[in-house]
Amino acid sequence: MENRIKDLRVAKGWSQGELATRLGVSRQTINAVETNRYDPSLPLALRAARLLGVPVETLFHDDWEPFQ
Amino acid sequence: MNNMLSTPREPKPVRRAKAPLWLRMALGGAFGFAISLLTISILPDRARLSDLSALQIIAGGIGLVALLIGLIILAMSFSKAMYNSENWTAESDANEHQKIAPQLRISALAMLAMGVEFFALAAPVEPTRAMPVIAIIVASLIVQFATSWSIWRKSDELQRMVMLEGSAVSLGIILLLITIWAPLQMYSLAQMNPLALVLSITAACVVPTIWLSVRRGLTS
Repeated sequence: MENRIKDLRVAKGWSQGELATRLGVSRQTINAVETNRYDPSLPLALRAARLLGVPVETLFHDDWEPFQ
Repeated sequence: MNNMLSTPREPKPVRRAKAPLWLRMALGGAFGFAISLLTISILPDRARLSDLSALQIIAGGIGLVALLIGLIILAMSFSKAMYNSENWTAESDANEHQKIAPQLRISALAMLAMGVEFFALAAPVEPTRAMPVIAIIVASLIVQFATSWSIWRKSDELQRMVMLEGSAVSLGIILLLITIWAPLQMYSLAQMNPLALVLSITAACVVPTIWLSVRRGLTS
């Protein structure tokens, strides 16, 4: 799943380590999410969206469309 | 003129000068040679490699690798340079080593215990003197269990997911191995050495976890 975490993090002037500390996870987790190697849990996604000041659907993007 | 028009650059961070590559390689080689000589000199006469079975040599090799990895992780827990964080400039990144050092020490302890366990498994001891070796193996397993529990409790969601995914893959491989081995053993078509079983299961546990750690970016 694609996401905008890196863009929004950089806009706030935070390093990966700083965001990780604020979210209570390791820097490796932030790195894995930013490089699309790991989709975070729902609680972590919601916390990240709240911290970065955007709705969760703005932070994460999925191409899936419902069948018509 | 160009100098007048050029924009001022930020000062580069001060970095410690590294020794030339050839010198570092030579020092590493000398250190390895010294350790090898020391290891050979302390081996008792009856522990010649020719006296050991292939499985014992493999177990000893795994034990040696585990000990070396444990020592490297231990060194990383004490050295920012070895943890490769010396170039980080942001304050919180620079503090990462400080935060992760206790976890690295626990991981190092787990690897050292695994190394001791495999050395004990590879030891050529007579059955009448087996009890101390069994005691060492049990103690190593207790240390590994305790350290694994501690690592699990301190892990975040990505680390836990890698461990769970690794366990699931390992279980599948172990079931496959045992299901193939069982009929072979039952119909006396092949006998499996207990040490081979331990080595196979260890490989089935370690390899998927390493693969998943790299794939999920835990090593970057």
